[in-house]
Amino acid sequence: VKGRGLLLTALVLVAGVFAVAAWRIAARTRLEHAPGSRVVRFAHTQLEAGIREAFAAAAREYMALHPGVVVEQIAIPRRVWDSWMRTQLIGGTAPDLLQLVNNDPNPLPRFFVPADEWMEAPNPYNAGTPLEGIPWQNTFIAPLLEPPSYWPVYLHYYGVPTTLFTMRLYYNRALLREITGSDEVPATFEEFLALCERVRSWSAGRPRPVYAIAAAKPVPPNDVLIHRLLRSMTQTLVEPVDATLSLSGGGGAGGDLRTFAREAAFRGVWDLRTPQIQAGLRLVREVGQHFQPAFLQADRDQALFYFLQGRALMIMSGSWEFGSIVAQAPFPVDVFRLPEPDRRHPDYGRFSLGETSEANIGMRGAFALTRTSRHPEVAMDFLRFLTSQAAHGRFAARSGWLPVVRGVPPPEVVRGFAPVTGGYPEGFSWTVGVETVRINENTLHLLFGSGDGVERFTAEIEPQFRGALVRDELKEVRESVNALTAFDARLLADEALRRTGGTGLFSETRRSELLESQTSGELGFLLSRTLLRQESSP
Amino acid sequence: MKAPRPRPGRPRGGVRWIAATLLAAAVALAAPPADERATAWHDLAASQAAAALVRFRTLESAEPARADEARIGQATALLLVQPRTASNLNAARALARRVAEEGEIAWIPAGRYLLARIAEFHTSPADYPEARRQYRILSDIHGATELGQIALTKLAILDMREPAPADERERRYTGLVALEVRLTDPAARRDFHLALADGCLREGLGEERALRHSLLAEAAGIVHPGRRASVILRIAELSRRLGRPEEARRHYRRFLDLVGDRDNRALLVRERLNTLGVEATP
Repeated sequence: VKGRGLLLTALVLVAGVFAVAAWRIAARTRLEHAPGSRVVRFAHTQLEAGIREAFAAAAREYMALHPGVVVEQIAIPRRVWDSWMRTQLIGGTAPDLLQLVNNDPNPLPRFFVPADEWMEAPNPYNAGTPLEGIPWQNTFIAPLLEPPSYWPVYLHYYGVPTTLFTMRLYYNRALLREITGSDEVPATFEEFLALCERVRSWSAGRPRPVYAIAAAKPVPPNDVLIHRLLRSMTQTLVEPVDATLSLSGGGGAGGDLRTFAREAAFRGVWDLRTPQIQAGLRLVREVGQHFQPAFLQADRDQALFYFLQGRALMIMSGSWEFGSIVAQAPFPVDVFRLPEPDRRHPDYGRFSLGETSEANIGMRGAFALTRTSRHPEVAMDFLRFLTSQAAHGRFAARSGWLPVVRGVPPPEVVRGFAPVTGGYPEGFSWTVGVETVRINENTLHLLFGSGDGVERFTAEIEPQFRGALVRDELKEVRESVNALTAFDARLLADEALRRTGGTGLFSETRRSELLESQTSGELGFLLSRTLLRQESSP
Repeated sequence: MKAPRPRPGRPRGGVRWIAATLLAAAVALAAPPADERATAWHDLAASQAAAALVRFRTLESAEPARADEARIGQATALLLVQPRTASNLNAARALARRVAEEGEIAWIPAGRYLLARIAEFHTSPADYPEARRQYRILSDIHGATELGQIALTKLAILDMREPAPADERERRYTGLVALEVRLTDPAARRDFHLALADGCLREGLGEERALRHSLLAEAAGIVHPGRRASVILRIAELSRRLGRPEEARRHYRRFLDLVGDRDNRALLVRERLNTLGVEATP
């Protein structure tokens, strides 16, 4: 009898769960298929606290303005995003708007609609503001010149950005006060190192040690801290490596410092023994002494756990995580910018120009319209609403994300993330491609190990360096051939379409830009080929 | 009454009508719709090479009058189709050559252009002499066409980039400068001078020459603001290095006007301006 009772209870439970699930699905279907309603879905991978709520609030506001429109968000974990997105795109079931997460150019022309037409027109939701009548593309805090917004390789706008991501040191304010007796954060590199030392001495002898910095194994994307340090020491190498005399190129179409650095390494302008590179390694090792033990085996979640448990005073992370970290931390959290050694530093100063500028940081959180969208006008209209001055201000306040629309001030809580636009161009890291990154990852334990870590690390990498450099250059060459061929295809297609009286692919200006980009790509490609040929000749 | 039996070889009127209708339908089906051509080119531009290839093949047989256009489309698609194979490359070369050597005049430049590109980028090892030969023919015979103008730029890129001894490099440079008068298209002129400026800087042909070509490129109109900013900055830097502080100042200021604070080089440039100001003060 007891067994039958249990079985009955189990059956009732299962039936109940089924009924609830069925009702939810039915309710959702009813919502989607309500007569006359137009459903627009947007998908993103920002699962941090507060972001979904902020998007949902924006959707509610938009729906209130547009009866008959339903805006739904789909939040997908980052780990499965790539495969999920690919499946949706290929299966023709993609939502109307997708976040452009990793700046992969390949799916764009096939699966997404260029946003040029909308971008050239004013954003109607800016009526009555200083941005009224201004083309949408010019209402952002900086010109949209690079991916994920504008794609020079395709000469089209695709992504509509919603934020900027900057990196900062998060710190436990209560713990800082407990250790130092003050709320003051370090303003210089010397003060930063002094704080790290202070944490070490304060922690000594305590039953549960506290470390200055919680760190994960410094591999992409958890390697921002060490690359900041490495790059701070190569600022004085920027001019010698930049053969174009453009003071580092400024990034994107203006010129890419990593490409300049790779070329200069082939030409022997620098190598691992160059004083600036050695200084960078010493700097990383010095700061690394204040990471928690066994950080080289820690992943990102473990490092964050250290911080949230109060076992580390600081952790490096991005502005996108602010809401999540604040929500999880049982203590007050604030941020400051990692101070880098400046010209006055007795050891590192001779390699530094000064504080690094963040003026060229690209915009993020960009959404693009999929070709399978059933309501493209509504989908793009929602993005116009989201990036209008008033709605974007509310979105930034709710999400804790840095705003990207002109005239929208950053919310007080995230002021510390606002990009520093003064300062000097950043230098480069010696890892100039995936192969050099790989040998760095495999050898990092030596840098932080006992003895002369910098020398052991250098000696281990040195014999592998040029081989890795060659493989990185070869990868560039392979990718460039496809890009150059695609340029030719667009050039000939545009000409063929115009020749027979039809509408070409591009305006005159865009066609001119196509040729300009092709020239730039071709110069880079043939340079790579020449360097490889010279490298292989005896 | 029995219907008369139709005589062999002479179909009845009704059958003839049906046959004619079927034939017309077949022709209509075989002939691509008017926008099929445009769709094929749009597919190609969107890197949908396999789909474009199928459409262009259909077009080649269905519209003999436009067969050369379809051949150029096919050749381009074959260069894009993945994975890249030797047979696709050979087929692309054969199609391009057929158009270049026997095609209608309107499509010959495209055929030549593709032959040059195949030799330069798709053949392993690269056949630079053949690429140069095709660009030369294109610019000599079809110099008034857009591809003829582009060919001059491609020649400049190739001559500046292909390794050569110093005297040969100097000879090539002089030869290229002699071609400047033939550049009538602003975009081609800009790209030609961008290539020469870059070559002068990297290959030690002289900063004075690099400055001249940078100025000419900028005057021809650089479209992308990021690229324009970098070229203006190069002009300023070269002017400073060549001892022309007034020119340097003017171009540093133009750079700052263009980028405002949204460029990580702005502070460095302001410092340069300050230094130049001090230097200019007696």
